[in-house]
Amino acid sequence: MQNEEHPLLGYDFEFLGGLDNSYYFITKNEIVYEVKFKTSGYVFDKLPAIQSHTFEFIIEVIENPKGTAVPFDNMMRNTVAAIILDFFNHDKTVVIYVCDTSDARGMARFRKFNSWFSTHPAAAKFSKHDIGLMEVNETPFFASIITRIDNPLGRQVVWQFLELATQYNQPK
Amino acid sequence: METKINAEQSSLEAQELAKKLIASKKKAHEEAKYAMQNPQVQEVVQRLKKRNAERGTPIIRL
Repeated sequence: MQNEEHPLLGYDFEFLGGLDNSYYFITKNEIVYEVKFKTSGYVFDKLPAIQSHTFEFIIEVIENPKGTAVPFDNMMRNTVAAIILDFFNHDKTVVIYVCDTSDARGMARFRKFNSWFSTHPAAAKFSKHDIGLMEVNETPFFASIITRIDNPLGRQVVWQFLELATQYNQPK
Repeated sequence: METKINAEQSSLEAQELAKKLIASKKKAHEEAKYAMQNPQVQEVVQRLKKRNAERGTPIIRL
């Protein structure tokens, strides 16, 4: 991850652990973020070997002392990527990111996440696939699955994840 | 007939799974509102604030 010529800069972060494998960092605007990797083995109940390695990625603002809208922050990409890299310590690790659309900004968040991912120098070490799921009320939500490219079960995991979208989006 | 039943079953399973994922996401969003009430989280945040203050910036080389 480290590049001596162009070192990656980002926010200092700390791993607390716990049930949800929580990390924390504070931005230059004093906004406190929590990043969690929640156990989500139920997603791959047909792939027992991967169940204990499957986690849902969550990022939330937990303190915003100024109470203002969260501004664009060019340190976010590297910080979030560093946390994800820190967490991906096992080749079977699978991370799922579900994009919340409840406030109608889901697509923007999804694009931002994609941008962070695709422009990061470490992106080549990972495989990422996206799905869109159409809710009954026609509000889509988006989900991504990230695996290491050396994940021995990567193809099966991705296939099952894409199959989820196919099945879910069938006419109801 | 059997194929159709299997397809419907798979679709139902997918819907349940998708609902679980959405519910999990919403639960996490709710939990985040109370995260700062957790003493362990408060300690981590205080440590980070202290380190950032000593360094003069929250930014580090990753």
